[in-house]
Amino acid sequence: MKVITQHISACKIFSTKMWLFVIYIFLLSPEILFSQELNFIQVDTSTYNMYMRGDWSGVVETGKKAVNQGFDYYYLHMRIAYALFVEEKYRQAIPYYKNALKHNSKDPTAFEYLYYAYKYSGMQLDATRLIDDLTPEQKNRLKIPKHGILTVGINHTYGRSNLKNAYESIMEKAGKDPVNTAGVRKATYFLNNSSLQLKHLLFKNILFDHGISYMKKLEYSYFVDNDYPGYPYISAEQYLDQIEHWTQVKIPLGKGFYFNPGFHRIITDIPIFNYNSYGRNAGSDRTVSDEIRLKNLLPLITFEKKSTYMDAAVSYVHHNFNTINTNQFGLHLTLYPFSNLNLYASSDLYLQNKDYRGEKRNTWMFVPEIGAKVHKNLWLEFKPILMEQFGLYDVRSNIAYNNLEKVDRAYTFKVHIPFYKIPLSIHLQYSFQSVNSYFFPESNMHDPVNKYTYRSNFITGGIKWVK
Amino acid sequence: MGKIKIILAGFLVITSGIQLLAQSAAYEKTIEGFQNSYLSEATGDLSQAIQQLKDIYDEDSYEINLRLGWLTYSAGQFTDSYSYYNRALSLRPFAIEPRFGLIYPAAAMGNWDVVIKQYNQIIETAPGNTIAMHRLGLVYYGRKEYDKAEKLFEKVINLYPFDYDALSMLAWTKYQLKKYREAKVLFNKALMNTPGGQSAIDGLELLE
Repeated sequence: MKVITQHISACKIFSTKMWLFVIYIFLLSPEILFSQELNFIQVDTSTYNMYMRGDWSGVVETGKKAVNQGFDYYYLHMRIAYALFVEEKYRQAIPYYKNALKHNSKDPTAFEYLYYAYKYSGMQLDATRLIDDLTPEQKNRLKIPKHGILTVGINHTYGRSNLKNAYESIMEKAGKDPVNTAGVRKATYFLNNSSLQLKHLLFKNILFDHGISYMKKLEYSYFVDNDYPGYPYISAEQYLDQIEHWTQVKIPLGKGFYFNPGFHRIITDIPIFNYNSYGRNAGSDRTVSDEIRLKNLLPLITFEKKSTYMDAAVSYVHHNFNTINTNQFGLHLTLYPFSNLNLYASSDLYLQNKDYRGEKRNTWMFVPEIGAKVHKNLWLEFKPILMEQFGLYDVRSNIAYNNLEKVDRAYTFKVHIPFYKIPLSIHLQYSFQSVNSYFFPESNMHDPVNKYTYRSNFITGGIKWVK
Repeated sequence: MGKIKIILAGFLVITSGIQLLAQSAAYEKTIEGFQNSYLSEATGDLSQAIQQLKDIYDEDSYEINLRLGWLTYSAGQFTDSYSYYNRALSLRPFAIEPRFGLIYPAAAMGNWDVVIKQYNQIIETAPGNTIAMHRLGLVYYGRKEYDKAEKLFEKVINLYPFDYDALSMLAWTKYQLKKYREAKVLFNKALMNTPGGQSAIDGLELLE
């Protein structure tokens, strides 16, 4: 009996040990496999078989392990690159296609896939720089035109606010604006903005982005002149015109590293009427006696680095909107967790150093954004801005807007619909803004008074042709 | 003094004799290793053929490195083959034999830039080498670089005007370059050499 008990307990111990051993081996097995030295036949046979079976994650895992162990040949890099491409990890595929091209520098297949990997990674300039390396047959098949124009696009924005009878509404809710203090207040009823964009190459390597836009907006204007205290100029409704043109250049400095200088030039015409009164239709017979023309130049530079999982950039912008001398510094990060455009999250941190008549103020601003592919032909983006912004040049949206109002908070939803058979892309954007209209005293533009908040809704639609 | 000279001379004779004997034994061992390796290869036992040469491996031996290059290539060990052929090439930099060898694993791994470089070096060393010219022409043809292929096939044709392979490949290259009249003449000449040549027949059918 004792013997049997001993035997059973021995079996138990053995079985416990066995289980521990099995678990140990199971836990360690990837480690063992990983530390195992591969030989060429193992690498080539296994990656080839997995490639033929369509086991893409297997190709990537074994292939990367082999590359880390020093295996370096065309077919291995091509298999890894293709597996990553099929898994839509386009940015990860790029270095492997480049490695393949080191062994087979004229390989049309590697060039074509590298072209698409760049294109699907949002690296249009890099894709375009490869076009010369494609065969004439590939260029025909991919319908790549011979000219250097990359993008032509048109956009239109319509914005309307819930502002009605601004003078009364502001007085009722925010109080009466000063009449003896020189200063100005604006509030927007609605606006229309049309723009045309053209991107083209110069010397095959340098990308030029030009654009022109025309904006017409209906606004409320309250203005007290230093020369006429006590007699504010009140324009219930007046149309303001703004013409903007911009040029930005993208110069490649190295591997995924770019220098982007540029400028925006903005001309704003504000009418001055010789007769003013208040109330709807009250000024309909008035005539423009003068026009104030504001000219602003906004130079900007950006240094940008693109890598497999992240884009990083720093920017500098200078402007003198509303006579506030502003130096704006930006740090921009975009993460691509799957190394493609299926999901991306960006964050922009801005520091605005504002100088008005020698008095300096620093303002920090944080702007996040998230975008995702929800369908083959549909991308959605969402951008909330929860901090009050004034005179902010948003480096990503590339819009310079000289406005004497502060945006309290804004939520922007964007829809992109790319077509593949025809090289067109449509985008629609809806933006909600809570706007703060203030009276800005001329003596201290940093500290406006009499806040009045209203809402604005903007809808933007556009279509662009993409090479 | 005389005795010392005699002793020294005797010592030299003995040591030389020992050296010769040792060398002779080493040669015998090397030749035996090669012999066994050939036999193993003939019976299809490549790993044994490789091992037999590895047993007598001398990194300064051109012959062993060259043959190991071939055997490892045959066994599918392309990276090893590449290294052995490279070693052989470094020992005989002006030889074209290891360059032809190096091309096997390079092509098998898809490293076509190495293949092209080696063929160009062969042609530089041996300008009339039609094998290198023809094969390099095939590489360019495969890459759709027809202008480069045309020049090489024409050189081969100048040396071997009645070679079927060269005629048909030049004809196909002319066809790709849309030089249809010349292509037709060349396909017909190829058929004179090999009347049933399928490649030339296919080409002529396309031209009709």
